[in-house]
Amino acid sequence: MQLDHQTLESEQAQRVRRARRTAAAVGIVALVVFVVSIVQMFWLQHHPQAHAQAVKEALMQ
Amino acid sequence: MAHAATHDEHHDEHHEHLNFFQRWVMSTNHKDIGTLYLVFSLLMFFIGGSFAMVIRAELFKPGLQLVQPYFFNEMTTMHALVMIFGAVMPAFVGLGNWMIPLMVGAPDMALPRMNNLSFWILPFAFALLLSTLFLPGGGPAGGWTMYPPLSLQSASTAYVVFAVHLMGISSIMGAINIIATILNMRAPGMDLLKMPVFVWSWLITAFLLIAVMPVLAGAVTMLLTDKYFNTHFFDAAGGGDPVLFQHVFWFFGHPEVYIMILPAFGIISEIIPTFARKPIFGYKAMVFAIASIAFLSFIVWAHHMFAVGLPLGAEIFFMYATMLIAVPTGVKVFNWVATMWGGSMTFETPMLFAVAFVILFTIGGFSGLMLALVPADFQYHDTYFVVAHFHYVLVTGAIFAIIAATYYWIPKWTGHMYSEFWGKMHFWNSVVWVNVLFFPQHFLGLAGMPRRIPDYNVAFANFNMISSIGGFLFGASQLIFVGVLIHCVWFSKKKATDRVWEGAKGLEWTVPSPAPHHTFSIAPVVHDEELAHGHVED
Amino acid sequence: MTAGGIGKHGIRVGKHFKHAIGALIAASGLFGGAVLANPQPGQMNLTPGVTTYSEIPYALSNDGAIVCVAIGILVFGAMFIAMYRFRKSRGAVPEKWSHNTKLEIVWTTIPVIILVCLAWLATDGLRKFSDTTGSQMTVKVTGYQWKWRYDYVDYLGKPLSHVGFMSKLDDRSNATRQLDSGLDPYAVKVGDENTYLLDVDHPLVVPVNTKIRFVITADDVIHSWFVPALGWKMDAIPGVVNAAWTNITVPGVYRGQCAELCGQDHGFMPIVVKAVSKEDFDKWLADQQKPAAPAPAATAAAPAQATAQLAPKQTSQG
Repeated sequence: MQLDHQTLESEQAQRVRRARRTAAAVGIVALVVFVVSIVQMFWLQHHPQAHAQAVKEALMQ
Repeated sequence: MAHAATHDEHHDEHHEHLNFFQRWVMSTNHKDIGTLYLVFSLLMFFIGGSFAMVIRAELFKPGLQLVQPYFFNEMTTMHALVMIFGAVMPAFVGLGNWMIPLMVGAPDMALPRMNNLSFWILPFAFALLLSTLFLPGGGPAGGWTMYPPLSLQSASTAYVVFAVHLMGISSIMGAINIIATILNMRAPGMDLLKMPVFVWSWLITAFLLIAVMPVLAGAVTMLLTDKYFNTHFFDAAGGGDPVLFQHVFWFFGHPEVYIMILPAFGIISEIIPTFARKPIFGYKAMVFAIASIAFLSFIVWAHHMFAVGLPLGAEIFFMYATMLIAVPTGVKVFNWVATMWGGSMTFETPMLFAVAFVILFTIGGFSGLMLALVPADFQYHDTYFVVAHFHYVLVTGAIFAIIAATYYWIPKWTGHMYSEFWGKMHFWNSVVWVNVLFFPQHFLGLAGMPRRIPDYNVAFANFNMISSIGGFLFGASQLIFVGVLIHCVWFSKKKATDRVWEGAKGLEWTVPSPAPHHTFSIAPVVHDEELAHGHVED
Repeated sequence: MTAGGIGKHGIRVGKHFKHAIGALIAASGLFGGAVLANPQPGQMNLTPGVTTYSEIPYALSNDGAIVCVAIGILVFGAMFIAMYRFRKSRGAVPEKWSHNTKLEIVWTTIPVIILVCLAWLATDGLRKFSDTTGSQMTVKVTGYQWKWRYDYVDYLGKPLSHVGFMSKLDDRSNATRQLDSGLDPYAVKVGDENTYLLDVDHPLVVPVNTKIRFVITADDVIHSWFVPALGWKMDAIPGVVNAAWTNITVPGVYRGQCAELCGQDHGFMPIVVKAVSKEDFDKWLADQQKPAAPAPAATAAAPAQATAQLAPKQTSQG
């Protein structure tokens, strides 16, 4: 029979392990937001017409 | 629950063996790091405050008497950067560090070493930022909003950008830690909807931080590449758009102002029930209001930019979205009043600051509502009316809440009571002078005095002088605060009880005063009736 | 009823009410008329302005202030009553309730209704402001560090050229505003009016009762063209041309300042609009169009067409 390691962990240790996973996930989200914010500006700069068009369509009445 | 907590007392006071360096610089303890944050924030509060004193001294009367206009601009810029990133945000992170593990029954923050790193980045970030004042090219003088092209004329762009990156990394790591702690480290029985409102407010704030600090980092990175690496993100001559920076900046900037006020809402929601001896009114509504304010904060950014010439449709959309924020904010204020109604109130210093918060923050909210009305904003924008508005929400809002929190929890931190007499002296001086300082600025703005000018027409002279006098005295009043803190930490003879306040509820009051170095090594048992907001049955 | 009387009453009620009532007095229209269109000592409210549009922000601001004061009186009133009635020292016993669904619905709905009313008023005003059609005159405004340039583009359907000039802080203000100049800001006057930092060498001259379209841009950094008496400000941004309009009904001299931080002399680039009768404007315009007017045009060295370009850095006056 294989040992289930999770059941051997203390509750507190289990919480810490899960917390690390949460932290890693959130950190990745932050990194993605950073990259996307720059890439989006980069894209806009190389597609000025698309940018102007989108602004017009979205906002003009 | 009380028994569960007392077990911790004998658990090791092993920090006694550490020397000063090991205790403070290498600390991984949430309480020590919280203390470091709070002390750092107090230091920054006084540095930023001294910049404000220079500003108010120069504006004391018409004509330039003290500083050159460029230095004046450096002062306004640095005052904002230091107060926002150095005083208010670290203070909230410090309070979160200290109190969140105690409030949810966790032994420490989820990632203690990262916690240490996120604090110790800050002194370097601010050393870098403040050092620009002594460099040949001078410090940043384009406003804390760093609008290009003006900000690119400064010689210190690279320093500021790097400093902002460091602060951003610190905030993001702090936010990650808080999210991980709250989501994973709660004691059994501490369901999400049983958490104190302060913990909720920090959870939501942490998500805001994760969503917007990287955007700020992106924006300032683009500033840097525009200045040094020949990109043209914000340079009209190269096909870029200076307005784009403002959109990106305020996409960060507006959530940022809620980052500075949501934890304050949480603090006030802890203090008022304690001193009204009555559970918080509408706990779920309070949590939901914080969440909706946070959500709305992402779709109102352009209300900072009504005068840049947005299309009509955009102005209307952002006006409506902005006005909508008044609804959840109103709910919070009404709920605080309803919490007091039918209570049994006493007015110790934390409660006094909390009451002042509710009134004065609401006044700041009122001017915010007026600012949302676009045609009126075309008059108010970039005048002292705006200055008055955001100082009401940030000084009498965020700062008052931080001060209230300090008085509220310092007996738990130190094990001693502060001097109630001097606390009240601090309160009455602060509340009177802060109004003398900022209320006349509404009138200056309405009369048409622009922000960020070092000198003005004599028509603005009388209110500026009143404002400056208020400013000096408000600044001086904060020295009382330092005195109260020093007395409380080192000299106070009056021992604090474990519960400290008669009406105090929640896990943090079940541990001894001062809180031992390690608490809740064994998870406490949570009893609903011991929680601050009573039973949640609705 | 005098302002002082209300003020005294306010002190009795409480500090915050005093502020609120102060705002109310101001809101009830303390200031009117062309003379008061410029900043006045002790001014506590917006100017109603001097154009066909400027009453709108004035009225809207007053409405907003009145709504806020009314809500403030209710909320703070309830709060002070609570703080008086439910004190432990008066023997108050805490009650147990912590929610009341009906009440919560009421205080969510009522603000929504109030907001809808305000939004309706504001949208109306905004629509009026954004309608720049039907103008009889166009003026191009360009912001520089740290002065303004005005180019008259067309008037009554006729294109104009070579009517344009730089407009910067007047020499007396400029001498007085130097650090430790020893000069008295109160001594800088035009007639009875104190014009320290609010006067220029060449004001923008415009006719009254004419719908004037402004096209606003900048050459170096972002500025903002702001004259309170006209009821609006508009950012001047390099690479962007913004439009706004005004129709001044009262002849007079209206003063404003740059409203967007633009560098060290941001505080020293005022705006002066001189509104004159149509006849006087025709005369002035004819003077300007005389070929090669020597002395006054010297500051307007750059030809009108060149101002849209971005490259050249203008030297500062300071």
